[in-house]
Amino acid sequence: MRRGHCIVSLLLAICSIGFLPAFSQVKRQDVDFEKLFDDLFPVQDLDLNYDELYENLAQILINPIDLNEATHQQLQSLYLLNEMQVNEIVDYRNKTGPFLSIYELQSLESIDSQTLEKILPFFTVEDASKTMNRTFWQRLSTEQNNYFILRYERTIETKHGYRADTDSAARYAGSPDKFYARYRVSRTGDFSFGFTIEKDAGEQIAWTPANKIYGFDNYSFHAQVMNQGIFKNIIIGDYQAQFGQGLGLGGGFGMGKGSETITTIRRANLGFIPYTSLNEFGFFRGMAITVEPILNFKINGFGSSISRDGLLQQDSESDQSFFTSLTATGLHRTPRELSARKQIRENNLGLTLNYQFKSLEAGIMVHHTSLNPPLQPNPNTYNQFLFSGTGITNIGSFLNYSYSNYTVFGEFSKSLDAGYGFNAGLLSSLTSSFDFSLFIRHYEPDYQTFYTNAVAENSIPRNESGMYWGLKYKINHSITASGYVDVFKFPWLRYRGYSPSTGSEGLLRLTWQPSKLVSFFIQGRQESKIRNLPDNTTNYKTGMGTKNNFWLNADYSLTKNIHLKTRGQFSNYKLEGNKTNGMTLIQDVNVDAGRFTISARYALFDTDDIDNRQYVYERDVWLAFSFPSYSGVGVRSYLMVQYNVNRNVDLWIRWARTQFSDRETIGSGGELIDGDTRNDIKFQLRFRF
Amino acid sequence: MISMGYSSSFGIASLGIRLNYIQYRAEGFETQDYLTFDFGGVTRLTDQLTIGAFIKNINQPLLSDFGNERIPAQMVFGVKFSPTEFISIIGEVDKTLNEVTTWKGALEYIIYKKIFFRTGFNIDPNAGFFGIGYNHNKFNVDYAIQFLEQLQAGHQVSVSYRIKNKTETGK
Repeated sequence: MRRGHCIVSLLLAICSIGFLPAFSQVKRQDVDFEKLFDDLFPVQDLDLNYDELYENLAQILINPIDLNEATHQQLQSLYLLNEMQVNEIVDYRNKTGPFLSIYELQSLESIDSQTLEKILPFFTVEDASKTMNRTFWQRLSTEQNNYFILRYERTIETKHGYRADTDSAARYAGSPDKFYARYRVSRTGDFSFGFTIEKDAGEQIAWTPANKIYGFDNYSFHAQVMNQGIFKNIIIGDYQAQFGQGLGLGGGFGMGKGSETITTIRRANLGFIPYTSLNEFGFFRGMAITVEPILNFKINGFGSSISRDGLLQQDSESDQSFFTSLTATGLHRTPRELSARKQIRENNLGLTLNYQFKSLEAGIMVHHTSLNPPLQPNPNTYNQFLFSGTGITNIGSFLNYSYSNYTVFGEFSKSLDAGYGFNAGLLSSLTSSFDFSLFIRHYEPDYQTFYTNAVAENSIPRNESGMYWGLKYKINHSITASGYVDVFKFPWLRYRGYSPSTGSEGLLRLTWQPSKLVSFFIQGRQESKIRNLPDNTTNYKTGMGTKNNFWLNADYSLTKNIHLKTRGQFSNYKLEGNKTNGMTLIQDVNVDAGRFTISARYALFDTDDIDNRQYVYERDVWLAFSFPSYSGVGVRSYLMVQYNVNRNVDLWIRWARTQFSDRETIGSGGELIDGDTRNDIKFQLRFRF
Repeated sequence: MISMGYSSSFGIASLGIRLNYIQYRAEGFETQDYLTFDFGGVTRLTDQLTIGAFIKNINQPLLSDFGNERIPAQMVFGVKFSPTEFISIIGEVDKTLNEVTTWKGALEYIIYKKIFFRTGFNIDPNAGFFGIGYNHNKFNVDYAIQFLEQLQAGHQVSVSYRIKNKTETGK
């Protein structure tokens, strides 16, 4: 009877979502990162390569979660469901048995159509009967969740690095072409295999084993098998580790303070995840194993040995070599960049013990990183507590617990012979329309960790304590208000901030979605942090710098197939009576026309300085993440066409153009382009077998 | 300092006025007397929304002729919003003349019947607060911990017992 009712509601759910394909042909939709980006991703103001960092995150997010197998933790890990929704999914599963289809989610009270639409691409419901009697090899060879990508990119203008008359120190060894190939086949909870081959623009294709160059510049590979008896997870190749709150062991870049003010401050305890990204930094290479010898008790062990980039130097007295910093760009174009390539041997060993019972999860961990030769940063006032030496061992513990509509979480981590860090937080759906989050952290100046994505104001959790309050209030079915306030303190000096200091940050957003076809939001954000005053090279004096951002965004559809986006971003930065401004206005047109999908943008930007550069998401070829900052004065435009050749093949062509009106040349060094215009083209082919 | 106040309700609003008599004494200087006026009001606009305002030292009496120094005026505006009966969100802006503006925000949540959870923050100076309260008939216990910018954590406990139960008016 219960099941009968459930099927009826499921059919109703399917019928009510008219735009979705019929049940029999349901194929997972691609994740719309543009939408996700505005909802989830933090506000960017650091000088980082966001394209690659976010691509990694996107990779994790697009790997679908099995709705029937997902733990409480995994459901939370999407950042898209609040506590009440997670609870209802788990309760529903316990009461009525496994979901027959993801559309069955529609019958849950707390999941409205907007949420459903958002989360659909992230879930699958595996039909166990289809695979039950098949061998591993049969499952692997018939898996439909696979792809092979070939990508080519090039800047049309000739950069100085490629010119024969350029000084040899700045000249690039290879061609201006960027090649990229990736294959992956994966089945949620079962297996994943993949490889990536890459050559960045300016890198050579060569075979010089003496310099550890074997054809292309960068290779990555992984093989993962899951749920084989007591072996819950085995990965050989490249992988990341994500435990607790990511303080001691975190995989690359995590979400933090952003427009999603509740769920993004918590990290999910995901364990070992295959690494498939382009970024040549922030992952392990070797082997990772999770075993569950006793029910609910897991042992996770990993070992990794990988060459990192760093420029070797020689100590004149002891004749010992050392390096001053790890290079994370992954670019090997100039003689200097090539000489830093794979010079550092980094080894990692780690073990975590994990206990899980219902919604309680607790663990302890130990992790050792060693570097050969040793790291010795150039001494400076602000980096007095920065790691130096040949290795560091961290021990730590974490706890996650959910009760009713509350989740508490926290992690403590200690560097042996150095400082410690901890964080703790609370997420709660106080009512069905009101969510609240609270997060505190304290990271000592000499807490040392290389693999982390804990929530922090600084890019790494060090030299900081703070408190964060977030709330989200669904005023009615179409209007949502969200906001956060974060107050923080830096007990020691920071880069470009040579005094202990305090600061604060706040954000407020109002989203109005009157219909499925129209969505509008306004967002304001203010951040105050100290900074060294300019023209003060000898005797550093600091002042409070305040940055204001204001965004207006409208997404609307003219017809079922024509979607427009209009957006304005404005900012200013004030430091000691000095005020600079920046802005950009953006108009997008996206058209679905049968086998073709066309995306176009025209944007004007005008920024006074680097503090007002405007980071803007751009549509890009599938699985590429484009997130440039518009800086200077000029026009940015792009046109992208996706052509669905047949069931198995898709083709993308993208042409992006930036024309500046405030300069005669673009870039500097080897990247210098004569003229005020830059054109970039990109092709991608995707095969699905 | 001696204060005298009067307050009254007018429909949805409650207004109050206060008269203060302040005496300053400092060794070697003559004793000085001042009269200051404060004014405040709270208006319940809807069941969900209440606003309040408070002005201190409206008349700004001259402290000394030297440097034209006055007792500075202070204004506080606050808004309380209750999306449900269990939740109150409070925002406040506090400005004393010639000092930085302080912004405050707070949330109170009734966890279970008579147990209250409270948390809030100050910007300029920066501080964070957490509190828990228990209310049973005439008996109140409140505990708060505050983290200030430069100081260590501070604790506050208050216990109160109302001898005579106030007749429930609009509360």
